[in-house]
Amino acid sequence: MAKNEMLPGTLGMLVLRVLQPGALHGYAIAQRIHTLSNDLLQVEEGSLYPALQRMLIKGWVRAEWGISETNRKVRFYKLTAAGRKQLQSEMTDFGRVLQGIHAVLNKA
Amino acid sequence: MGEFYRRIHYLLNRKRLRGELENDMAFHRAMLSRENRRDFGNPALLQEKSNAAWGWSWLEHFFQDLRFGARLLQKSPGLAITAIAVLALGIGVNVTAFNIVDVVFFKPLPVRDPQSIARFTTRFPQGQATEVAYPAAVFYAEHNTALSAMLAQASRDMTFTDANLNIQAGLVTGNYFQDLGSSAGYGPLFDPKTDEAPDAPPVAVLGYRFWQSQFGGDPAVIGKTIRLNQHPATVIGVTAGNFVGLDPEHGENDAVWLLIDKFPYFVPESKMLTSFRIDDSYVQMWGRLKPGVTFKAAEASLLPLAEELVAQHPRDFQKGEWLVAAPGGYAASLDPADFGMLPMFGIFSALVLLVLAVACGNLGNLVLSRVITREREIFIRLSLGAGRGRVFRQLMTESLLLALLGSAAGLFVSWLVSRPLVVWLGGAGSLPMAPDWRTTSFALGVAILACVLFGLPSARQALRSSQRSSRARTIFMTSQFAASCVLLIVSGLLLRALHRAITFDPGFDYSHTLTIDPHLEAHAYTPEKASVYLNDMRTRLAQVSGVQAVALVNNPPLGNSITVGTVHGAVNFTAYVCQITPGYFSALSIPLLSGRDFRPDEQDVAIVSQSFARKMWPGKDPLRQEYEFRGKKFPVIAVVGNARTLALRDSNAAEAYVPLRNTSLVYSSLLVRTSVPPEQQSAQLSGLARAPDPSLSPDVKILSIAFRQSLGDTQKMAGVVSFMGALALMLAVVGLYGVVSYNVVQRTREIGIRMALGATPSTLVRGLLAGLVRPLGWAIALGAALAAGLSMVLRSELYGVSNFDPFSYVGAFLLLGVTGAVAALLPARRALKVDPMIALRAE
Repeated sequence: MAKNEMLPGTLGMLVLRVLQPGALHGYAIAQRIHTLSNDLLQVEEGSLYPALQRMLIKGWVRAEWGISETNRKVRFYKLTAAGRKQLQSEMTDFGRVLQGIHAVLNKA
Repeated sequence: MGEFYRRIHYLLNRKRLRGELENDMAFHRAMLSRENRRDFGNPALLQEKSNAAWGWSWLEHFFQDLRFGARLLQKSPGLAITAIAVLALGIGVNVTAFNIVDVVFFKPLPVRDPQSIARFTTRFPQGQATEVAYPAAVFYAEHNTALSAMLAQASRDMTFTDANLNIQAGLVTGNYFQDLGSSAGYGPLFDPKTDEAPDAPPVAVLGYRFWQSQFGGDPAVIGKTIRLNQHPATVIGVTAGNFVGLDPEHGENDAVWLLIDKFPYFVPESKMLTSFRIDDSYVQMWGRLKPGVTFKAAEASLLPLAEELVAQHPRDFQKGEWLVAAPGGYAASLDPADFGMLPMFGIFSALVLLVLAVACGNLGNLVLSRVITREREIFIRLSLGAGRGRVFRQLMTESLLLALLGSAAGLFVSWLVSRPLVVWLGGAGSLPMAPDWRTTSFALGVAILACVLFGLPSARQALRSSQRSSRARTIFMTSQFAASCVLLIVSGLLLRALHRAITFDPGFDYSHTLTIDPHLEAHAYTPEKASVYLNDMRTRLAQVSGVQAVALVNNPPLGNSITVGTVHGAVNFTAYVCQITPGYFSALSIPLLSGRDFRPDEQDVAIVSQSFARKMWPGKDPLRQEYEFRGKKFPVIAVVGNARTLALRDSNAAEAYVPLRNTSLVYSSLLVRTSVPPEQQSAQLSGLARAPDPSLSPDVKILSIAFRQSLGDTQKMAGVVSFMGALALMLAVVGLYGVVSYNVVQRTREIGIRMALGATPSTLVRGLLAGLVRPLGWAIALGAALAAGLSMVLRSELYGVSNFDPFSYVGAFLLLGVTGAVAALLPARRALKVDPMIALRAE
């Protein structure tokens, strides 16, 4: 596994997490993930959009019009109550999996 | 729920939302390029993935394909019109048949709340009657708890005295029109409160058609007095032109509507209001179910009342007699008693489906040819990365588009022909015939079926790119010819039956005889009064010049009333029983084979026909046997020739005769043999029959005319099936022509080479047609087998023609063979005109 690839299935969780403090547009979401991971994680950035569509369907995020820092009309994605709940449960699940992996790696 | 709602929201706003997503992605890419980074991915692919996430791609692809299909059709309008016309025929035949069944059995009548109407019919321990005695109906109406209203209707013959015309009067309860919500054409209809009062003056409502024909549609007729059976009545209204009522078949012919309660005013001797005997006062009965009451519950609630009636009138009811309830708001209720016609119905459905099969086979070849010319397009699509499933779906969608267009055209055709066809077949033309949701969904279903039948093999063929198309073609060809073969054989059988019926000897002479039915029972004659009238008539008739013989019979030849019984002799068979007076046999020229005719006033003896004797007592002397009639044993005194007076079609029929019973006098007809052509005498005899009692409305029937009419059903059936057969043959022949032409074009090069190498014309043609012989042989064999199976059901309609009748089969084979050969040879001959040099240069 190359160092900058993501664990499968984690992209959704990361998107939800970076949206927790407030609404962001698509580019900003990719940027945040990139910087917060200390440049370790890099997404094929376009694949963010199919993932966002799935979250829209599930009702975890909502899209609203806003103005970007470059003064352009663009949609901002905002976490909904259902999205917060989903984030919580995904983080808990993920934490448990990590713990398990850690436990095995350290003791074996 | 939320997710579903969001998906629907997306579907409805997809254009806008897609634009917004595109904007998001464009912005993203713009930002990336500002930073000189370009790892966004393939934008078109990502956009598609994003859209697909919403789950509507299939629908979008469907509409894309539909648009593409429509464009293709526009580009080749000739093909489109041919295909739609072929389908319109194939589907139209099916939809029309379904529509008629729908109108008769499943479409509610145009009356108020048809679902809550129950029809009540009488069940005896053995047998059934569609009617109920009117006083019994009134008793049920007054004492039951399940019905909110009782409606009754009957038809009786009357004389419209003002024009001296025999008419049929409809009799109804006062609430009939109001309860059914029927609107009047003019004036009011019956009002139970005022018109049914005992002292109310007699009133009449005119039927729309009678009003048109007799009063020229003049509204001023309202308030005028007309005379019926010489009794005056005031016209209060006219029914609407589209009035149907609950019994369309009779109601359509009712010239005048009267109240049942006032019937004795017009026919003073009638026991309509008093007699519980069903013969005296029969009416059809319906009930309006109270809310929440089921048909079964209504039936159950009337059961104790039926028992009470039987107890009160033991002489008028049979022990264990009761009423059954069935849905009443339909032109014909599906009665278990009618299930006998199911096989007939089945065979007819099979025949119409065969027409569809021919149409689909024909169209299949068309579509297949087109798919093959598009081989290159399909190949390009596949090599550009289109999934096979996607291409398959596209081809099927194109077929579906054709099928839907054809189906719509078929629906239109059926809308045009349904009413004339129903009228021609003798049904009620006043029923609303426009296709309803049932017929429309049926048309849709047939379209889908057709699409699978003609589209699937072609689409599969297209994807199997390398192989030649001969297999699908052969299947289409074979199915067309097999189906045509069945239709031709069955129509051949029916035509043969018709020919047999016209030429065969029914065993009695109908050309010099007429019958007079005075309908004494409709005028409430007693047996004594009937006896006086009939004797009077016999003396009067004897004095008319030309009259050679007069006799009485309860079931006149070729009439509607018949008495049958299953007889368990050496074999079981149907016996047709007539009650007659001496002279009957000579009036009909039925030969007396042994023994003697009845003597006047002789009772309790019997005469049987030759076939009866042979079936009942094979190998024994019939004159030493006894015939059992209504529980009594009558010695047989004579054997007469077979005479199918009551069942022309039933080659298995046998007749028995007993002397006319006193109780049957009121149902008797006069049988008159005359040396003058009957057509010239009928008017005179009609007047004569009215002379003793001017209120009578006698029916004079000329047997030769009745004989021709009785062939009508078979004639019509033969007509319908022959039409379908001709249609199928035409399609199949055109199809064959197309296939051979196509082969010639495809193989031009090969033909050229062969010719250059010196092949003779006959070898060339043989080579072209060789592949066709075997499938067509199969088609004919298959068709013959299918026809043999189907026609088993038809036997009773065939006038004794065997369902393996060789003429019909060989005739169908020859017709198919000759037309097929012509259709194949015409284009094949074109191959011979090919110039080898041009052919070789062609590619």
